[in-house]
Amino acid sequence: MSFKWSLGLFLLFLMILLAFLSISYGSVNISFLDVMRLLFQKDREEAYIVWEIRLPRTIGGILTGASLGVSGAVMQNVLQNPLASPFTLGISHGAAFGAAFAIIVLGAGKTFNVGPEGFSILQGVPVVFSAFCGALLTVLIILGLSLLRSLSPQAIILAGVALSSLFTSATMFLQYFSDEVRVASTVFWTFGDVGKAGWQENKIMALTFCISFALLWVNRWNYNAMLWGDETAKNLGTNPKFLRIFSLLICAILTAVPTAFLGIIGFVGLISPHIIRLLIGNDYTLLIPFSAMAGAGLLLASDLLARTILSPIVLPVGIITSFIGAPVFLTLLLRRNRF
Amino acid sequence: MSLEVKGLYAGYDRSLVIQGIDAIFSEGRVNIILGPNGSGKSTLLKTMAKVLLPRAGTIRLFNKDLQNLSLKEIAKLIAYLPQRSNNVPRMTVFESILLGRKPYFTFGPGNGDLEIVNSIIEELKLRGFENKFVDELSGGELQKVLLARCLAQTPKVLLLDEPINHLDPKNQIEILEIIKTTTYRVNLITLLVLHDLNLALRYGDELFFMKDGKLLWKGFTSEVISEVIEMVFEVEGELAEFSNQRLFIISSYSTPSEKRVPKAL
Repeated sequence: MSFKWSLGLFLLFLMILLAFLSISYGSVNISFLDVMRLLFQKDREEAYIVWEIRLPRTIGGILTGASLGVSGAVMQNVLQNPLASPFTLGISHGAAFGAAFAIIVLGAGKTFNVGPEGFSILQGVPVVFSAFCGALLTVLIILGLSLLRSLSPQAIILAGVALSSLFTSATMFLQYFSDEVRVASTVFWTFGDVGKAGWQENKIMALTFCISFALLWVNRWNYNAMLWGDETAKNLGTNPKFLRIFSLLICAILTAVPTAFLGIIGFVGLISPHIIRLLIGNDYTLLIPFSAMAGAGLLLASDLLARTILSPIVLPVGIITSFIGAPVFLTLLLRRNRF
Repeated sequence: MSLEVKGLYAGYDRSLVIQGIDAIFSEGRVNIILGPNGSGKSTLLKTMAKVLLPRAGTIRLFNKDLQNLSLKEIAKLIAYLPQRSNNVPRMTVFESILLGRKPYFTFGPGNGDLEIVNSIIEELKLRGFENKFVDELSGGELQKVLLARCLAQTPKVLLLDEPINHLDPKNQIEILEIIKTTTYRVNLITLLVLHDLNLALRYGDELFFMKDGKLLWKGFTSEVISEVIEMVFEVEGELAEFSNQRLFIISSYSTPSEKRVPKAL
């Protein structure tokens, strides 16, 4: 069996293992065997923990990590830049602004107590919806500009930087005129946390992921052609301009949905494709599914760490992803010093 | 059967590079395009590959207007190798050549596609290289892989923009020999942009001299005279014969015309 298929199986095994660990570890530890049993017996007391707390969290982690990994792989391709990530187009800043707008201007959300100090913040469906709109608005502005003036990939990235800064200042403006609960709520919103994922959120994320994955997967050979530059891609029957706009739109939705639900989870989308690329190269027929599995694995591992490192305090996973992602990535880079 | 260019004008945002070109390129011949830098050779090739759309004029292949063909249909007819670019991704040799079959894929590569790729690997003596990464190859090996990808498209037309730049003499000859034999065997319409006059004289069946976006002279290689070369490249020299090969030897680059004197003076 070739190295590539072994790697695929390994990633799958790793993901399943991490999922089981994620279900069994926490403030109450449940053994592997019990987890297996509880998945089929819903009447026992611990079944509530498994079914209503751990399982949605784990599935939310898998879906979010996979979404970010796939988006990263595709965006790095169509923007022809290894630094591109799901947030390159200003999605995170747009979403944060959307959340801040809902919380501060519309006064949306219900009060929850969060964090080790138990301070109260506002969150809820209108906040999520507004964050999603903010994220999508940013991307639509950039794609609109690029259609209007046929922007190069570099110009698209720079437009993302400009809009990010615009939305950051708009968010800060809103925060300056707000009270402490609302400011705390907007800041807290940005902490990406898979604990916010429930069954309802997971259903929407799963649907988004499946449709987006299929649409991107169909284009896997087009992405391979794009690796050689726009001119060669064109001569291989790929339309670079169309593919760029189409893919960015899909990736934007694929990123905006989990971001709106869970908050900002950085670095997973940037490094998951790079980890796979360092191992098997740039073949997108495998890079797309493998990046999904790597992203899911990375997020589950980060979340496990987030829950255990300062136990019983549960950290938002967004704090951890960059914290463990960066050293993992640097190690790989130093071992194979080429992209 | 031929590739016909009629009244072609093409260029980029602010500049018109190709300014009225008429030419017919025939099957089973190595057609070589020569001309100084900026004369529009690359632009001509890009336009013929439909990578760039013409401003005016038509390009007809086997009496079909390229304008009416989709990118995918063109990809099956015309293989285009751009000038050496910085885009060398981390991909294996096999994957890179297989990409040439992409226009024929329905879902992914079929057995027929793998067979074609394997026979090309055999033909270009790339056996043993299949699993190497292209970004780790030498310049000559990489160029061979790129040529192999073009051949994997099983095209009727081969457009190669300076395929032997930066290669050592042995690799230059090897690549040109592959191009020549394939052109004759498969009856390809081959267009080659070259800078080396003597290699052009050796491998070209027909030569096309371009200058300032126009075609200045075309004809069989045996018919070319030194005055043509002198005029196009603004050099002085003569054509000589040496062990059955015609060579152009440059004696000086100062032309008698006033062209070398800057206009401001």
